[in-house]
Amino acid sequence: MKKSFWKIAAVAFASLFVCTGCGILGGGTSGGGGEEEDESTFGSASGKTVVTYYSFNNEQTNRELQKAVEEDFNVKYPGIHVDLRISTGSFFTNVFNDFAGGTAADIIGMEPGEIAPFVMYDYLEPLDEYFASSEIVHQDDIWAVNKQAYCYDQSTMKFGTGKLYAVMKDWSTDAMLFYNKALLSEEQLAIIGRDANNDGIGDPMTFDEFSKLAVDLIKSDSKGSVTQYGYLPGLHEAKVLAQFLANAGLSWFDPATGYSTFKNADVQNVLNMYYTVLAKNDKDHAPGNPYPIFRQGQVAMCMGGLYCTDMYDFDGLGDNLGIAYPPVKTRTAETTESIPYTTGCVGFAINKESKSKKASFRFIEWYLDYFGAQDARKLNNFPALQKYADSIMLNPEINTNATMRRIAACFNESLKRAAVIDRNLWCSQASFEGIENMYAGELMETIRGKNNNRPLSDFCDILDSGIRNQVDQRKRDYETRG
Amino acid sequence: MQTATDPMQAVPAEAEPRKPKNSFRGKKMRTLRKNIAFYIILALIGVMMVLPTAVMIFSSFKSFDEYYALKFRFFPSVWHFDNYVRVFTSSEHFFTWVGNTIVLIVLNTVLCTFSTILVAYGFAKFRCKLADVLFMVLLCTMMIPWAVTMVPSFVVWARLKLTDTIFPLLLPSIGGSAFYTFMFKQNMRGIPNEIMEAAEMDGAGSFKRLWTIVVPNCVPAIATMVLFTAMGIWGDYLGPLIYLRTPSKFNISLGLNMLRSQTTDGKQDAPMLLAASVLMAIPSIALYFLGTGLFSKGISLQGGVKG
Amino acid sequence: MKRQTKTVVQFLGYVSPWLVGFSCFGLFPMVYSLYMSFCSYMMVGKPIWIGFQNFIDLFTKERFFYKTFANTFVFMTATTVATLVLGLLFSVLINSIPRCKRFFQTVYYLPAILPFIAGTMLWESMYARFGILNGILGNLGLGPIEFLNTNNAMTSLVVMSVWGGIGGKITMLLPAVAAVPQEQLESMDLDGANAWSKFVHVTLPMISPTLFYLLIMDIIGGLQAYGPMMMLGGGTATITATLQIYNYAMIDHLMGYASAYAWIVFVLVLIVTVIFFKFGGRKVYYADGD
Repeated sequence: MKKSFWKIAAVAFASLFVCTGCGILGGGTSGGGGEEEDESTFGSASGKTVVTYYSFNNEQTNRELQKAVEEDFNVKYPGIHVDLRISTGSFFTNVFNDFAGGTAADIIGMEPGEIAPFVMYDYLEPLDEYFASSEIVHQDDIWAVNKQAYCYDQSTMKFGTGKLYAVMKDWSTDAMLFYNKALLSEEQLAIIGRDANNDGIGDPMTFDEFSKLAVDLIKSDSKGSVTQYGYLPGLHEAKVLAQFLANAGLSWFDPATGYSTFKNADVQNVLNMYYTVLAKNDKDHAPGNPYPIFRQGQVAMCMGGLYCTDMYDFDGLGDNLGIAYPPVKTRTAETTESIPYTTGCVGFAINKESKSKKASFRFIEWYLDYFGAQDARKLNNFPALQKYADSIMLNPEINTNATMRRIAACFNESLKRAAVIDRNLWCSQASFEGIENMYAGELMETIRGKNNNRPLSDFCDILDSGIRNQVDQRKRDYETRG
Repeated sequence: MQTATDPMQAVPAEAEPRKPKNSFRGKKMRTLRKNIAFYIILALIGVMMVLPTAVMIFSSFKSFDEYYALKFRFFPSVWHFDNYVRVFTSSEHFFTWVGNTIVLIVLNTVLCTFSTILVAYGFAKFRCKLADVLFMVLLCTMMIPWAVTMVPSFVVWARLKLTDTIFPLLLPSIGGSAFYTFMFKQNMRGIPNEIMEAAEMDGAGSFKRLWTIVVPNCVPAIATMVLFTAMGIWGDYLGPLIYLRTPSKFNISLGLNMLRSQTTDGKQDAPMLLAASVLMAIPSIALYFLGTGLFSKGISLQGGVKG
Repeated sequence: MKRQTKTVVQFLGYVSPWLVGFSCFGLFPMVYSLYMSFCSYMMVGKPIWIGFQNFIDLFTKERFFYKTFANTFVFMTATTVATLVLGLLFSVLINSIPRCKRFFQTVYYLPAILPFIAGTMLWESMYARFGILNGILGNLGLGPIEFLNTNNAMTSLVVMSVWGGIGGKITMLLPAVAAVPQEQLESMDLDGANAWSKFVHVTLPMISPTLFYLLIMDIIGGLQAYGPMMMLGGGTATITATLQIYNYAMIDHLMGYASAYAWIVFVLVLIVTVIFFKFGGRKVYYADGD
């Protein structure tokens, strides 16, 4: 009696356990096939298509978008309901988790530096045909850099060719060097304001000139706290670092293998220059966002984007607001026309498993066309459609602020020559940023002489091994998957 | 029996031998000095323990500029009660966060307590070899690092498409709490078996015996569990952090965390955040005072069987 | 026979919530985690078996592998020793004073009541470069201290943890100290023993079960600490194993790698616990000869 009871109990327990396991492991595949999307219902009020758009907008931007959707999009397409979602935390990790769980949104915010794993795992819907048959927007209407940012060819594993997997919604790069003329001396202005081709944008300084200026312009009080900064990077430090490397003809990774280049002496020299500048400017004690204090006249130079004029009121500096290309290693005829990058661009991608792909595209083309015009009016970002530059942004009748027009014209010029910095297929920009963020502070402490814990060689070693780890893991995963 | 002699009075020598005059007094003095020393030490350290909290409270009434002013002042020069008001308007989701947290607390506490009572009863009153083995297993579960279960739990909930819902935060309470199961079991063991058997012979089923005999005797322990569990969930941050992502679904801890990253000029709105911290601490303190008397009745590691 | 079966059945019935909960949320994740640690899984598709590769990578290529464990040990030891010693000290003191025991007990426990995020924000504002402590130092004419830089971060975190942890210890130790029978202490008085001797030979053994319990719980908890490091930072000076696991799992979504890391932590906890039980278990004195 006893023995058989134990057996029953054991079996019951084990089967409970196994059932739970099977149920969970097996239930991962996404739900069954859907009905075909019915385009004809888009225009009628009885249509029930739902499109979810997951972005990293903040709450205020989302509210404005919601308003525009109600005022215009839903008038044109009453049958499509748009659900705007935002969340906090690591955006792209959340997206990955959503894909794993089958709950990814229909439209997903996308950046050029992050797109690689999504296209490699075939999560995204190619957009070429949608644009071809669209009545509102065609691919050629969009800035050429869009193709570089979001086209990908799996067979050659190269960007810039192949199908289009996402489309830029605006271009908000932190790629230009703003400076406050009031804080610079005559000689310094001569260096930074040199403009050989007279396009209103300062020619790029050399690294030497730049690093000297960035340190000379620092002012401190008696206790040693910085009161005026020479240079602060924009919001995204690692992207600025990547820009500096590109401007030295280098890259933070080797395109053939994906491994980092941080053991390379030339790369280390650039890092040395860059981080010394930041360390002397007391970067890790300076507030995270440099734009408000730039506006207040406490920062001589900072990297920024067009949105700084609107969002942070840079235009309030009036004629004192100067703009120049970011520094290059050596100045040649080519580098005088330095190429800014667009990893600050933000875009839309459509989930391949979405059941509302056509409706999603309707939203996207509407956004580019209608909301893009709104954005252009505010000069918050450069909208994706080229025509809005001349018709709205640089149009004195619409944009009456002369300073903002001047800055917009500079960005407009630079956009014509824009290119995208190489993407690492095996280690995303965010991963690189994560490692950099974690140890850069220690590096700067050492440079300032506070301790000897993190000399540059050690920092480079950390970056290298961290990136190597990521690359190895992802490569192995990708190759085993077949 | 010694009678205390009045040192001021001369006493005839032929009385019972008494202790020398001074030692009684000396001992009292020594004790007094010892006590004073202890009080001083405790008070000093006590001040150090309280000081951060006090600073937090006072700083929460400062204005933004005064908080970041170069010269530190302990007391605010002007008492800005509006910092507290601003806590409520800091986000459109604020009251939703509070509501979410209350829902979490109520559901979790009820589920967990109910479950723990049942499980402890099983362990306490139904002794068998299987029970002993499983109890060891129960104790060992307290040793499983959170990291080991975190990763697969997350994967499982993600595959079930239930991240960002209440389920990952609620369902684990089904198992009750290992710690409190242990505590309840101790308590329940203290109820004499004779009473249980008498009730059984009167025809009361085991379930009925649980609720009519055992539970009423364990009320202090149960109340302790309820209060401390509630306190824990009120302040729970690391748990929901993994699963919740939409701002409107946050509990109060995650909500405040979201406010932490809002800066003006690169500086957090520290007085408002500290005000929020104070407000958040008040229910916890209230719950603690409710539970504190019950706790010392409920726990008994030193003593043996109770009652 | 029948009664025994009935007992077992009833037992299983009552214990079933725990059985279900444990199976689903304890046992199953553990086994799945073990399986994942031998796989490569990045939230895409299904886990792919790669054998011991994760473990090999951890031991050979993970840059801060040993550092995280070193940090974990340092943090655990410092906080455990400090909270237990100070907690015991204050319990004895509080027990000795004639009045206001409740008052002091409450005062010392208040820091522990603060919810996690509230305490974090408090210490964040204390330790910040332009925060409260530096403000006080400024008033005294001293230069600012960077509390969260590489050299000071661990100390800062330990101070924060001890501040919050003492109260809990006192809550458990005070009743234990109070329960020490007075007669034993007084009998030692007559033998002319001093306070220290009384403490070591009477009090300490009598409270040793409680002390042992607290020690074990602290060790297990300390080895898994990650909250303060996550919130206040500190870079390589403070990163602990569990925090690194969290980063790998939740941010880089390297699930297999993180699982392997977690199992190494688990094995470590087991080893340390077993050592303490073997070593300490004998020293614990149970009054009822248990």
